[in-house]
Amino acid sequence: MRSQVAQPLSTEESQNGDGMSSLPPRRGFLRRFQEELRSEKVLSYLTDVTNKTSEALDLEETVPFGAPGERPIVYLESIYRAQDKFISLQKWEGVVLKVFADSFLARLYDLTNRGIEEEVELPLEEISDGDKDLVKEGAVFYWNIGYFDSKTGQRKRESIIRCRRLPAWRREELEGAKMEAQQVRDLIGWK
Amino acid sequence: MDGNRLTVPPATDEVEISVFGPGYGESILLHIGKNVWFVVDSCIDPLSKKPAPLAYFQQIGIDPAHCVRQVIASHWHDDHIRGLGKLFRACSNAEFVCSSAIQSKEFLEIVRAYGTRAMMESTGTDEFNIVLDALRERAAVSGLRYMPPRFARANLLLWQNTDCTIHALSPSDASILAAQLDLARLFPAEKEAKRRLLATDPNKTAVVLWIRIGDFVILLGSDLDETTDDQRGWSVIINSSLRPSGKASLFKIPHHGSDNAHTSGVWSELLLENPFAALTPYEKGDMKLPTRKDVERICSHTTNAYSTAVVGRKRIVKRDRTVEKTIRETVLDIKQLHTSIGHVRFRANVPNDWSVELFGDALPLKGLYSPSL
Amino acid sequence: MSIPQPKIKGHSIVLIGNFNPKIFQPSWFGSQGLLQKQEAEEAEVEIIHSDVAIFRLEWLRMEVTRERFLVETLQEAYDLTLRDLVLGTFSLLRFTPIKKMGINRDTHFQVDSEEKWHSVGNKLAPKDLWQEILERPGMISLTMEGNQKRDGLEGFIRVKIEPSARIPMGVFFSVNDHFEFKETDASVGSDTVISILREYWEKSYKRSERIIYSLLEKLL
Repeated sequence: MRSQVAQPLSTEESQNGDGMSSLPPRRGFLRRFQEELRSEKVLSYLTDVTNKTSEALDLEETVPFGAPGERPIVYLESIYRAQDKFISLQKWEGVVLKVFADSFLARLYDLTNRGIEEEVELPLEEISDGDKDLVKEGAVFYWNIGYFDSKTGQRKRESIIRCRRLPAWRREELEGAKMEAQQVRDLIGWK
Repeated sequence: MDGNRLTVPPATDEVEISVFGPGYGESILLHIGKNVWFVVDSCIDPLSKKPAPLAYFQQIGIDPAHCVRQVIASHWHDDHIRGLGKLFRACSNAEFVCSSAIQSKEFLEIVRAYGTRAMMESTGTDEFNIVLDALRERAAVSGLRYMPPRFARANLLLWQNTDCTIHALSPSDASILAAQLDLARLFPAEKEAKRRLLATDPNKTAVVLWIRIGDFVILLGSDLDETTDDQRGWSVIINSSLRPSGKASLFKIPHHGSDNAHTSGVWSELLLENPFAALTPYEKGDMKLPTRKDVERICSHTTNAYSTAVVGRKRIVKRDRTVEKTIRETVLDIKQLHTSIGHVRFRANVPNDWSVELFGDALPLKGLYSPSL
Repeated sequence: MSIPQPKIKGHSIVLIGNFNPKIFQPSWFGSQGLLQKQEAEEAEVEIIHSDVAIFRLEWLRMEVTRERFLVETLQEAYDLTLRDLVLGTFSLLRFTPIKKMGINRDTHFQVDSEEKWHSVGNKLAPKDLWQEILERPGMISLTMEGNQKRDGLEGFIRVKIEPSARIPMGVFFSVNDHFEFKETDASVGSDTVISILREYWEKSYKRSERIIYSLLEKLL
């Protein structure tokens, strides 16, 4: 293979877009924004399958932006910079069964080896402050054990518990459930 | 499991009760003869990952679509009915039976809310959603042949032919009312955080079954507890003048053999002396059912008691050393659940002359806390 | 040879549709309970504008323009949290028209010798074909696409393999699980997106892992 050296994607940019001059006038502040960005790594919004995105943000964009002939509204250069990384060795989804003064009992569903279920008692101090008020019976959380590599290259073994967050129940959802229940009831004779 | 004996189906004139329990959740299969089957509740076989009844039917060469007459859900929530949806779909000609306590729009509203809008799983409601969808499909297709669900309540005849009757002995009217009040409280409130719906007290909705096949009588106790309320629990059944007569020779012990499901009146009024009995154990946190005392108590009533699984066997999952080290540093306690499935099979073609076969982790109840284990 | 452990794993979700970037501020997510309040307050905002919004958390980067929504993380511990964030966001903004979705998983592996590293490229794109055409030919990138129809949903799976620009002697795999929604689906907003994220996330993840590891076995 040919080894990759990080390069600004200048050639792709000129091939992929019409260049700065064709952008609408209000891009003025964006030009200033772009000039202030470090140009070490760039990623054009306009991507396609030949784009070497592994040089850029480590992450691939999924879809070409717009159909051929369409122009993006904004050319934005994103900066590459080193980021923290985490590789999971073990992953669970947990459900809180009971909460005690300093700990909680939970059922764990192994996501790394499906089919294994465990029961665990965990100290409440393993939960970050921002999640503590979510720890109630029935609450769902994710527990990962793995290696955390900081942006500076320091590696450490970590256990991360994160409570699952979804929007609270909305009236439309509850009314929708009631309506559907009524329809099903009539249809299947649940009465 | 002993593969050879296990795969032999019952003879045409042989009655069979098979009790499955992986240590959490249970399922009971009933063969009344002539390849007519009934299934009560469901649990998952940890090895095959299938509903235990379907895995067993496959092993003995039974087609559930043709042979199962009713699928009876004596519970509605959480892990006591895992796989119920898939089971009911496979039993495509079976009637669905459940407790009258959930014969309400409130129950359906809960099932629809948690089943389709919570964006997370709650086992009991998910299983019932699958059942409801299956019923809806059958209603749309079958026309006149569609069988709406049947709702069990005390002293209701659920099924009969010339040789067999199946009665429900619970829930009582008072239990139904209490359960419906509970259900109304379970429906989520606007702006409430979304969480999984956990199992609640099973007592109010439990369906106890009384089965008579010729001269055989079988009592399946579900999870019914005895309470101080004289309108609910076992005392209501014992004192009822409407319940079927006779005494059972085989008893599925309720609520994992726990003390609060015990009434001496059951043993003296509803059961023959020294009946055959089975239970499925249960563990949660520090609680293990049956306790040693429960075992002693039950064994004082019968020498023919069996458990589908052991209790207190603490298994830790083997993982990568790094992971295990971190787990040890993080948790206060951890143990694996559902490590195996046990199966107690009773068969007889002569009344009260039950043969007992034990498969998997099933064992005589008196050995449950034996030092040798 | 033993399969190496991944060195870097990234997850991202990209949506193509019509968005109002100004909504996607950390404070909005915090107020909806979709992020922890403190982490929303401490978010690093690059820009919030009617055409573009970009912010970072410790574990997340979000980038939204009028046509595209992107969230990404390099911390595998938060892959499901990432999914939940999208689920939650678009269940609140359920009338957002969305035409396409991609669930992307990117992984960097390190190979234990230069010889093996070259052999990966040679297996994927045999040099014999190129020796007389180019001087010192080397594979820069290879992309394969397979059609994927799932329960009536249109889409494809795209797999890209490249030498890693992050890891020396590294190989980069990118699996793009792409979904396209018909015009009628777009008119009902984000319901389809929500149901895909709920029903296909696990399958999509398993398929990506299967693809990557079966390729690794063949290539190493």
